[in-house]
Amino acid sequence: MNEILWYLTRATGIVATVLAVAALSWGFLFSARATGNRRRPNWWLDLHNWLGGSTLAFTGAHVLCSFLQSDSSIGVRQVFVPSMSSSDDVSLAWGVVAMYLFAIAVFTSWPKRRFPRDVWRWIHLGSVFGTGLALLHGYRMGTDAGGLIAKAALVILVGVGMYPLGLRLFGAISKRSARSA
Amino acid sequence: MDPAQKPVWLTVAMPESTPRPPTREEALAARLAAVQRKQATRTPSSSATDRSGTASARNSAPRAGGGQRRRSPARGAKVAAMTMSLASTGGLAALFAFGPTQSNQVAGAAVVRTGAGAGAGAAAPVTAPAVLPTNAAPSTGRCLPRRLHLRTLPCGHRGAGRRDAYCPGSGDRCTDHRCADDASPTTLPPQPVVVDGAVYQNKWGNVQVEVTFAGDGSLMDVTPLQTPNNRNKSVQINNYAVPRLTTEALSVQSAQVHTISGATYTSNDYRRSLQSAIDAARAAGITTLA
Repeated sequence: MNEILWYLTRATGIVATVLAVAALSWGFLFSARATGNRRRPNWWLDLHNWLGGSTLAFTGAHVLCSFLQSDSSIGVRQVFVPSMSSSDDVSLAWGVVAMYLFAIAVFTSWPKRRFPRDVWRWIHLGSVFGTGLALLHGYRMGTDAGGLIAKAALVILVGVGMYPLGLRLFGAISKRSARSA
Repeated sequence: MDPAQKPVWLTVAMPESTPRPPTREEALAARLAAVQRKQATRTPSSSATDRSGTASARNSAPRAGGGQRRRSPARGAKVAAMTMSLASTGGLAALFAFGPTQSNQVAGAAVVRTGAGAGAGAAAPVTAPAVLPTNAAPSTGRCLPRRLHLRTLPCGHRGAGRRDAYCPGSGDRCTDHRCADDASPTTLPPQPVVVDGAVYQNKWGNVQVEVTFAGDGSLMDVTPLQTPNNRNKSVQINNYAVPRLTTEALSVQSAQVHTISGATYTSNDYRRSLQSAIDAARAAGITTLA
């Protein structure tokens, strides 16, 4: 049973990371208005929300599987409080922080209109930091992280995530400079 | 005449052969009209709840084009994304379970040395059959003094110590200035025994531990003989994980140590190698640990 949970922990962690990068890319493409005319903006937003929710769901499954492993050193405190595990270094704490950032991004999306726009935006941008932490967590702690396939997948994921991030960032910078000119 | 300055009646009377693209003002006016139509068709109750952001209100609101707004516009893509995620999870789990990533035992456990030098770990390992520590004195045929270079007096001599003497011409041991049968075990405390665990091979390398059992059968020390070291990351992981595994093993006096996150293969094989050593020691009567 422990072995099955171990396999599930690894699999859900990988899928959650991919989903996080996909949600990030969808969100940045959407906010950069680089989604083209084929699909309506609400289609992109709907899918972005879904990917974000799925990321959190798979992160929850990842945490649950690692918690249920009887031979793991992960208990309730280790799941919810960063750096509580005596048998792990800081990379487990990164995973815990990333989980919180994903949860905050998802659960503040529903009452989005109750927040001031700028506040909500900064809260939501925390998920970008969370995705970075999740990638680091996977790279440092992942059982498969040392393999060639995992490294190639990591490079592809970072590349896929950086393109829309750059698009959004430079779009915002050029827009701001045009506005001030 | 500038076409933009044409009177309306002239435009109507003489339509152009190709439809004229709307000007910016016309497009804005059309958009404004569409927004006004949308607001007009919205019921007051749905409008109020829509501002609060409830999904049901948004989904039930009529669209500006006339039709109902779709509940989830990306429904197909969402189903596809979830299917792909679940399939990936199942596929990866199956790959991990049945893929070539399992660790295999490549060598069995063995008792390597017994006696006082076992705990020091300085002596070269010599493979020997699994035996109990007998704690018997060396079979020299006579009761040897413990400090041979200082006390070489025969047993019974006044200058000889109670035990530091020998029994000339016999195998007896010297106790209380009297020679007794040397064949029986002495009352020396039991000596440590070193047992090498089995070697387990995983995708990153071999793992083997050497276990020192104290005379009373308890775990005295666990030393890693082999850990994956062909990558810098493996070395880094093992430098971090192995001392923690050892500390826990000595603490719980068992092989049931927790997996160190990030060092799962090493933890699993460390556990197996340690368990194999304990099993071998138990089979040899060295310990009663399970």
